[in-house]
Amino acid sequence: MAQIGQFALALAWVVTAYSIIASLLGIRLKHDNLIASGRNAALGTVACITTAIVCLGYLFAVSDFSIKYIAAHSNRDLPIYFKVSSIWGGQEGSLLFWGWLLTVYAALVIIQNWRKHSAMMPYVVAVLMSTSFFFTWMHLFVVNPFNQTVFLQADASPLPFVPRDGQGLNPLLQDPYMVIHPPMLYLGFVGFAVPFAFAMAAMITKQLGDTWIRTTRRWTMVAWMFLSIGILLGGKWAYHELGWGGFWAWDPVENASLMPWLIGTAFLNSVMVQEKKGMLKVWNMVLIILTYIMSLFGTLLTRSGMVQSVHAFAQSPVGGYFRAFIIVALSGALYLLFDRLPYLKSENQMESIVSRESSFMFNNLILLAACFAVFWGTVFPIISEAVTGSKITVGAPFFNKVNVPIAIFLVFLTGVGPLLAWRRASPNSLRRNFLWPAIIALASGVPLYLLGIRHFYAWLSLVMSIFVTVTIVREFYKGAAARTIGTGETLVEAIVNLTLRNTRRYGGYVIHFGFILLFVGLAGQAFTTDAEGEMAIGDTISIREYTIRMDKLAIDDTPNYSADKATVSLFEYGKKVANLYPEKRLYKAGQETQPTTEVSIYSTAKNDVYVVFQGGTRDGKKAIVQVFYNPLVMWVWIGGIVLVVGTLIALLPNKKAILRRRSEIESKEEPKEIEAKA
Amino acid sequence: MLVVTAPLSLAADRQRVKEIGQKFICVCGVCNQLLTECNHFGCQSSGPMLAEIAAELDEGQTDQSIISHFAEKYGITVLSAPPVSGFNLTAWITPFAALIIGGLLVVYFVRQFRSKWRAVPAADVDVAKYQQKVEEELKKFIPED
Repeated sequence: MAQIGQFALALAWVVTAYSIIASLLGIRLKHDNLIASGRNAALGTVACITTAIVCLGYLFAVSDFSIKYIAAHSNRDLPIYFKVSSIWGGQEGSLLFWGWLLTVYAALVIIQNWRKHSAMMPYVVAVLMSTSFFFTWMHLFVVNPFNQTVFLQADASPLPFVPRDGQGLNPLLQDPYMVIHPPMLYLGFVGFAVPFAFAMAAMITKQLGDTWIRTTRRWTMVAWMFLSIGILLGGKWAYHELGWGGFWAWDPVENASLMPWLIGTAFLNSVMVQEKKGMLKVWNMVLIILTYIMSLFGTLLTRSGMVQSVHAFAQSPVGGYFRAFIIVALSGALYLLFDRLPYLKSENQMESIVSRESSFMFNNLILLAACFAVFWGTVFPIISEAVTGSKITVGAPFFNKVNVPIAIFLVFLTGVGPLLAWRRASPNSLRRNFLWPAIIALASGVPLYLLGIRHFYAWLSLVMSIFVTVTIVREFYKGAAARTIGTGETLVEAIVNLTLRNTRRYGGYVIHFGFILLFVGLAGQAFTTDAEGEMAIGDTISIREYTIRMDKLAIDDTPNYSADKATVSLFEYGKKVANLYPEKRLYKAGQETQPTTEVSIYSTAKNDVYVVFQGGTRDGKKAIVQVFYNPLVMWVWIGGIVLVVGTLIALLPNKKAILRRRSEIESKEEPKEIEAKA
Repeated sequence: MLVVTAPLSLAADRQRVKEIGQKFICVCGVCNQLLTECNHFGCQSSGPMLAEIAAELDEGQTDQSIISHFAEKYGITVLSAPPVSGFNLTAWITPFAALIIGGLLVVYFVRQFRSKWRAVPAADVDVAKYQQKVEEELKKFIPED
């Protein structure tokens, strides 16, 4: 099976190269069959890499430890679902997974757009296949997942051998969230290759209207949605698995996923200005280039270990190749951009600084500043070492101090932007749109302060969140109320129909609301408290309105791991509300002998009670338990769900457009019917 | 099997120890996390370091003297954020400088666009005025995106 996989990879490499050459040569020679052949080769790549990935999955399923990658990331007693997720649990497999997703995306793009955009598509294929070529080359020659397990003899010559069992999957990755988090993240990273490829094709063919943007709008949104889900699931995994009480540590690998998300968000907002007003064409090109480059940079950070990270499981020497590829892709894109600048002129002018257009520009500026701050903090240890010769650390306190004020300003703009008119907002409309939201937000600041929210940034975040929420609710109400008068619909019906008639606008508001809920959850982290103690059976620890009582300590033994398991009763104001089961696990297989934490969480809309079983005391009679009181965490996850729902709404076609299209089709069919009757 | 871990007993106020502990990275070399967040099992560093902070607080040391002492003892990498001095000052300044420069550029571009718009001849301005009226009327019928 390994040989089939190996052959499929080699074939994929050749076919990808052929696809690029045939597409470009076909365009140059104006040879339609050659262009079509390039397209078919691109579709063939999917079959090749799918074969390779199926082979790898099979080798994991049958625990074939003659393959180095399988031996290093699996063991016989690993549950089957973790064996499947081991495909992307290490370097070689995760890059193969990246490459496979890219070819699947490429195939879908070809099927969807080949006829509609015949001039652009050969270039789109060439750009996507160029990325695919880099990855298939990496699969084959740098990080081949089908390499044999070898034993180095005394004279350093390799001797193939089959170990009796594998080293097992890193225990930190043996978590349900880790089964789904990397695929989501990669679907996001890889997805941005599609709008990038269209942007390059648009520049090459000089078709620089908004066709490429309209064509890729849904692709960009889908990629952005997957990346959002991936980031949130990563946070959820960290919260459940790492056991330090939080979900975001500003780790370089976390930052790697946040950077393309921030620029992708700027791009999604900014393209609206181009669609509506024909402006910011150069800017949008810059944004999509940066988004794609940041996706590659994110993969580089995750996979190379160029900056020290808790994701140490992801390190390997692929950095040089990635850096070279990023430089080539960036140089090519920037050369095209400079060459095509004369074709990227604005069709309209900016009239006022108080307008929807300029609010989009400020929103973009803030998102880019946030991205730059994250990038700067992530790479600063390298810069500092190069300049001063001494290493320094850039941890969470730096990122929080720099990014929190930027994020609060972003929340403010989230509320302001949609309420400003295009071209120019008059003082009257400003007063009409902002008076009540501002009054309600400021008025709510007083009770928030009296309730004990004295942390300035947390207070300001909540006040801003209320401001934005009021503006969003007002927008829905205003539109729905007008509909109820005109159509006689109930308010709920009117809201639903209003949303369906303009899914992009109202889906956008829902996304903004999701972002606000998420932000409220983040603000709550300013009030996290914890307590720690040694507990014998019957002992208690109190934190705020909660008390935990140690009821039982037991040992659990499974084929995969053994665990110390505590049973803890949780009381709220003296009334029992839950049983919690924190664990300390010791996995049996492999290289990681370090125990892992399985926290137990009682979650409500108000707060989480997060119980960590730290271990036993030296005399073995007591358990050391840490309890965190984490306010509002649930809103981070709810906000994430709302954000995804909003994106799905925005992806729906407008009812208005569907009705228009239907009437167009009917009016075309009518004459035929008449002719038929005649 | 009860897995054994080092007990953490702190004489000083727990919250104060946490506040100062967040200014440092655990030097265990495994987690690269904040001192207060390093909870990996069997860590030989975080417990003693937190106890050291507690002891220094009990002695009446100031935050700054604890920070200086730790930086001297464990090296500058123990600090969780770059020091606000020398070249490392650029870590703090650059993001905000970039934001301010970006903001000025946005204002500059908007103003430049506006001045071009104002330079439109008078006749065109009249047309623009009527156009605006038409658009305002249209807005009553078409919801704005």
